[in-house]
Amino acid sequence: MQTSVAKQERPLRLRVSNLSITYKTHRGILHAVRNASFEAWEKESLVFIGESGCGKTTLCTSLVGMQPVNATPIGGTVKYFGEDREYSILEMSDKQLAKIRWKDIAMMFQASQNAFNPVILMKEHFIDTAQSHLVGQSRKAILDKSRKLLELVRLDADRVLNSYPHELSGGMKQRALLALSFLLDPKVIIFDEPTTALDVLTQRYIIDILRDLRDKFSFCMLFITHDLSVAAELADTVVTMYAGQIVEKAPVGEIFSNPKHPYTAGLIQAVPTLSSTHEDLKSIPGSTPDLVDMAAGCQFAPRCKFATALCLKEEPQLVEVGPNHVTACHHHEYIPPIVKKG
Amino acid sequence: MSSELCRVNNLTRVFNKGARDVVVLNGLNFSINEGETFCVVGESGCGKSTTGRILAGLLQPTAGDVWFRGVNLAERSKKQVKAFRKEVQMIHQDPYASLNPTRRIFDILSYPLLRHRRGMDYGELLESVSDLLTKVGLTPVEDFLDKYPHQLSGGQRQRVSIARALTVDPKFIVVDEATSMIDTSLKISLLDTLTKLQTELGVTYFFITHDLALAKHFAWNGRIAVMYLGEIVELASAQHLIQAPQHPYTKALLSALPEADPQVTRTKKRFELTGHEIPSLDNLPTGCKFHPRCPWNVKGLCGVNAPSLQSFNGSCSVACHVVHGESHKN
Repeated sequence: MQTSVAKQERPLRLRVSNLSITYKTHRGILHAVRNASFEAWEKESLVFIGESGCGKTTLCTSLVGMQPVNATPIGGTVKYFGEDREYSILEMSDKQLAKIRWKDIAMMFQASQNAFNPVILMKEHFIDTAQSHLVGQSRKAILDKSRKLLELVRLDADRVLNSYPHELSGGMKQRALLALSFLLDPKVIIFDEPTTALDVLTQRYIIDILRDLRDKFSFCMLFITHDLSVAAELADTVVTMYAGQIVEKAPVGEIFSNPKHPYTAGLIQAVPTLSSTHEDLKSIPGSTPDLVDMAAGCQFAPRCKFATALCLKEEPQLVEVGPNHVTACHHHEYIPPIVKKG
Repeated sequence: MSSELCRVNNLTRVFNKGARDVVVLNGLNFSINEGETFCVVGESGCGKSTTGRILAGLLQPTAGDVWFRGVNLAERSKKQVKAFRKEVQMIHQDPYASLNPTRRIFDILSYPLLRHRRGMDYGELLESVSDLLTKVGLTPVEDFLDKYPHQLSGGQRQRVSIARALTVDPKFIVVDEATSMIDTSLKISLLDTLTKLQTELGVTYFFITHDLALAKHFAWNGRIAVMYLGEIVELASAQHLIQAPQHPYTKALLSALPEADPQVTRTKKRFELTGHEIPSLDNLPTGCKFHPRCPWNVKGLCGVNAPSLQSFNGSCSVACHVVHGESHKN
């Protein structure tokens, strides 16, 4: 309940309502995101989990109008609430979008260590970024700010600014990009798998830095990952996606102990942990459904042990099952809480 | 105790980088028993993949030797080489580079069968290939047989790599981060498939990963070696290593790992290191290679003498002066 009270006091940053996105493929229309709705508030960190192909990246890239060219939003709205006015992202032109990208909403893509231009110095990246949005800032002012940010992500600022991207390690590039994304004080930052492909100690380091930064600045963070342990570390709210749909959304403590969607429960039970002494991990049987030729009813039904005739016929809608906890399952009351291992 | 399958003595590998030599592996010694799971963990650049490639016979050691079933790999006859290739398979890390882009999945899986089991007709081949694809969860099989690797996702390619390694019923498989691109749920089911092969056919695994939780799950009854900059710093049974790590590096790795439980992971006790950057292989620290990052660093000892991997309390092997109490003698 506490979180819900606290939430009201903070400004709303994003509201996505009934967003549906399709891809044109040679086999037909692929329904990548269907009827997704969520809100994100200042200082909140929202973590999207789900298997590959569940639509989490498509959903989040559409929030900055950066979805792939063959993706078409077919319905719904995305509203971003800036300091002084609100924006309807889906109705904005590329030119208008370019103004708010990075300045208001920044996005770090998957494998974004490769995002740097290999032939210019790191400091030119910072200067370029700042000057394309804020006219008339001196190089010195920008570099001073960059230095501060680079120190926040615990890098040797002068060395990094005067290096070419290839002179930095993967973890350093990742942190430099993190600093770059804060350069224009964005209100919303979207991270797409920023810690995959990093070593354990580097990953831990980046998680710690992200948490620090979140306390220092008041941004709203959307975080995409398939790694549940990273979600457990960083999330306030966890959103589970399956077959293009948001199937569950709940506060982090709640979802890990008391998931109300069989898919979330299945994911949690499939993650190996260190703390348990002995374990019997269960994988979710079956595979993800075809999003071109979609079956009727609940998309998860063929893999679900709670499924009944109703599930095959009628698609469940999100219903409230607790404070800030919604799930799309006909039989959510039958799903047992997670038994703490060890 | 089961019999020894593979042993390496003083394994060293040096790569040339321009005019300089880079020591990637520095005097490894260990042996692997038949039917065992031997797991190697460590950060990138610690030499775990190089070790795997040498064990699979894909790379020659610069010094030291590798023995497989009592035969030195450097002194094999032609016949022994062919038998070795049937018995030992490797699942490569990068499924984008390790599958031939001009061959269909059916070809990729049937070539090794034709090479090692001559005289199969098309029907038998198709049946074997279909079985393999089903085993790794690429169903319906017909959808995959005629596809080329570029038509598959990273996770699907990794599954083809796993299926390819299983074609010739190997006895020893080097698994190099083979499930890194596969979703958790499927990852567990593939590892269970590998474990099943082990119980049924006594397959031995050399399992390379950077994920300690996964290592623990897969090697529950086996052993885990922790590598750092080309050396093994700790070697113990999986359960012992996870529950009672001795080496400061192992402690740091374990305490840094996030866990899928918000309560556990946010209250976890950390083992803080004094340095964050892993030293470059070009310019290795003297003495114990871990000493610049180690909170236990003893001046005048750790930076001077390199510790050797010694048995500790009879339950594990550790390479650390402080663990062995040598720091007090000075």
